[in-house]
Amino acid sequence: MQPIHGDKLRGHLEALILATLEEGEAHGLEILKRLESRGCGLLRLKEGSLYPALYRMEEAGEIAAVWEKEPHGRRGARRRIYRLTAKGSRKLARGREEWQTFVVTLGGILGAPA
Amino acid sequence: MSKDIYAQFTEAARQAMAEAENQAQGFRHEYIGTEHILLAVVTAKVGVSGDVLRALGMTPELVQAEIGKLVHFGPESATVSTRPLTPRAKEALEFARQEALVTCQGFVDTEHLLLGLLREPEGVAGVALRNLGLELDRIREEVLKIRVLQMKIVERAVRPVLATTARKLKMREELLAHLTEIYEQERIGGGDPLFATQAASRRFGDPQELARDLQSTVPWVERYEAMLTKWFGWRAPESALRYLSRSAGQMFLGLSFVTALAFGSTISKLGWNSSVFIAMRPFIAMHFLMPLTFLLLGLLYIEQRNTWFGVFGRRRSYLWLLGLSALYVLIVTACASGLVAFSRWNLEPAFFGVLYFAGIGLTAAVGSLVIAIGNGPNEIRDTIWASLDLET
Repeated sequence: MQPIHGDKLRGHLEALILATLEEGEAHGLEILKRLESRGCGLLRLKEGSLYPALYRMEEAGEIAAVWEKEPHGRRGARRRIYRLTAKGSRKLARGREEWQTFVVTLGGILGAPA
Repeated sequence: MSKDIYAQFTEAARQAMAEAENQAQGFRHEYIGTEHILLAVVTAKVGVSGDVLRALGMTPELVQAEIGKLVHFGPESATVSTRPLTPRAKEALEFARQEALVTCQGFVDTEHLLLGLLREPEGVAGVALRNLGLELDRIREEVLKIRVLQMKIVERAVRPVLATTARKLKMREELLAHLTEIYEQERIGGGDPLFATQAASRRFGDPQELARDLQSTVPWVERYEAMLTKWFGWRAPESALRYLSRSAGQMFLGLSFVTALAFGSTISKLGWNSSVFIAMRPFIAMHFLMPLTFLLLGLLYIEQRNTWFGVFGRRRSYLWLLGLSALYVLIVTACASGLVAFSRWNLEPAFFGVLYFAGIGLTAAVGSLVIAIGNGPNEIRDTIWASLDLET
């Protein structure tokens, strides 16, 4: 399978992030790790570009973030921990419905593999 | 008790302090001093500070020998369960806390411990290092070198963004935390510091593209607010003096409207005669004294802030702070008295008002210090970031 590159991802990135946060709160690097592990390492994202997506969703109230209070064995700079909000959950549910419709519709036209 | 002292310390830093206690035991000392903390830092296997010291030729044996020349071993009978910190060691930890606070609002790590020790040149650690031929400033530079490189990578992406300083600071610190974490990953993977920094930078992405993406997350209102601040506010990396002079100049120009309006209305009421000058006196006095006071008090605020935090070339000194506050009171009293004296064209009311003005001045001086302590960390961090030279 070909690796999926950042540009194709961008449109769906926000829904993907919301889905990973469903597992529990996480900071930026952890979110990337979850994305990578679920996507079997095929998702190639420039790490920095995660944050504009996170900030956009934060402005929209879909996720909330707090600075961490305890070091947790870290080297020094504190991180922000993101979590899903109620609004975010609703958006995720909508995103899932849309994706289902998308797959079914296109599947009907393109035809499922044998 | 020790829990409180080491709050906000990373695991590595706590271990270093535990090792410091071990070292103190080795010397049979009943206290923990800067020399023990230094030994702990130089023996630490992980972390920038250990790397830097060893790269500069400091081995644990060398440092131990030098310290042995400076302090005596304790008495045979010394058996203490927990050792207190010496006043200098406490100061060094306080400096370490400050270093962590003003550089990245992070937790205190071993590099901050070392930076804290370097701020006590007269402590045993400082003397030992200097005896071994090292310049404390050079060590500081080396410790901060990688951190500065990392900060520049982040700053390339954030500086072009039009947003409030609070938002930009948040972006900078979060991105730096991410960058340092992937840097650590690359280091563990077996790269030297420079290679790891480059690899982390590549993983991070193109700064210009990131800047555009970050900009798109800033609300429109905030962009206009940022443009306004850029026009009237501090333009990095200009000096405080330059910024305040420019602001005072803008204030002077702004006040011209007020003075002109006052002049116009006075003329229309009194006609062209000498009483116009009498009526205009307060406005003229204000026109000159306000920008001047603003400039002087602004500079004093910066001095108070820098002295309190011991940054930008200032040493922490309560004496100096007292002197600054006295100067503050003097300036407020002089300007207020001058305003009254010029307006009334008489020294007497100014003379009687002196105590009253001094009281106001004292309140303002204390208020200024309180604001400096509160706003200081954010302002200092913003200054450090915005002053990074991205060309080199």
